Amino acid sequence: MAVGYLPLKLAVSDLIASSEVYLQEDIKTLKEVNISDKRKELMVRSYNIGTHLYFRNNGGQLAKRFEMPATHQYLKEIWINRNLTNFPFSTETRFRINIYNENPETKGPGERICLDTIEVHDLNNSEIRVDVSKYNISITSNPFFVGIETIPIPYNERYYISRYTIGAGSIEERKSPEYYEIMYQPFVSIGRPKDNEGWSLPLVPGSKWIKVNIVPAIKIVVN
Amino acid sequence: MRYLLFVSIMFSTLATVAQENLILNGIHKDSVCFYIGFQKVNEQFNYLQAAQKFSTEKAGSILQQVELGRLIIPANVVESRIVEPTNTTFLLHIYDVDSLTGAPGASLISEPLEVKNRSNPIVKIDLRKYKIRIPGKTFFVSIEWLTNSINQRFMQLSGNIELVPGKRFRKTAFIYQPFVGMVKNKKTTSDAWVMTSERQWKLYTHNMPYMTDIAISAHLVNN
Repeated sequence: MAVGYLPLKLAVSDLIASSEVYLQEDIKTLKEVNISDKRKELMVRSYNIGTHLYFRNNGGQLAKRFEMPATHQYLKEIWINRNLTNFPFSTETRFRINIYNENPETKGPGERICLDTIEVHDLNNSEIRVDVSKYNISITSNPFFVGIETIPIPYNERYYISRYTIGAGSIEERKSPEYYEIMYQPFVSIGRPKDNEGWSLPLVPGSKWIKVNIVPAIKIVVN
Repeated sequence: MRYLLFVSIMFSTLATVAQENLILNGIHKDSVCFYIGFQKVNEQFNYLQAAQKFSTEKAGSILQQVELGRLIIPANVVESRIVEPTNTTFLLHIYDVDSLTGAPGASLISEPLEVKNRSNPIVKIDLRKYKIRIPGKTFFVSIEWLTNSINQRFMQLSGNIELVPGKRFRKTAFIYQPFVGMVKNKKTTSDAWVMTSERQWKLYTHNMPYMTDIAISAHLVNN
């Protein structure tokens, strides 16, 4: 039986008359087949937002370390949680997202994996979901880092007065005198890091990545 | 009947001529989100005055009122039980345009006006009693900072310094109230001017393209 053709019955006498046989194509057997390399999406990590933790964003970058699961390869979405409460000023913000591999010496962020500028504009969302699938960010080695880069432009500038400092035993002590401070949106929520999870690059020119005891509230979707 | 009609038309004409009020660079509390007067990583703010340029279609307008947007940090921004001292005193100047440079030129008032304000984000200054007539179509309204103890505040800068061996101190800077707002209008050029410590006027473009104008509005009447 020939696959893809209708059955044909012949008498022996037909073959004696002619050795050529013509089969009719059977289109019903040619079924459509979908071919896809799309893997199942997976959410990696959680926000891990600490209670009573507040991040005064003075600019620069704040990064979180991630591990790409062995079954996945591409970065699809980046989710960021930010604190919108108790701020009377505008919540509108523009910031950038940078993806880094690991610096083998410092174990912190190293070279940028994605050289495209991923700039985010958000008005008033406490959870900002950024679709980065169009950048085809392939993570080929672990760990890697997702950094939030604050842009120190008037658009993001906000104001604050430092009145208290945290003394021994978390006792608040009045500062004298009081100080004005410039802060910048976005005010990313933070938690306490595990191991080398949280890294910061200060705004001051010439700064290097330093390990910090806070970690930004970022989680990612991979596929 | 004919007499009544004549009176009616006459009053109508007079009203049209007398009530041509004009507000230039109108501001309101929610439109001002950005302020100058701070020392930042990318700007050392040591200017003596900040002026806003205004242009009218007709010469000879009378300046009746000026409004100024200033930073008042609400008490709920911080864990405050003490209201930050927001009282300030500053000088108000009205300048004609310098026809050669386009910068502020001759003063249109015999001496600057001293303005005191306690806690208003929009400071309204009634100028009707001064009968300030604008000779041309362009003029400037400027505020001059008074660097006295009433206006002096402190600003916390990033980094610290070892002033005494073994003891590090935070870098701080003197700043002065009022912290004047800036706004973005739909144009591509700046109409904000500042006076340097050498008493030279220069166009203030530091915050372009995000902020085009000083948050000062002028209320005029044309006769």
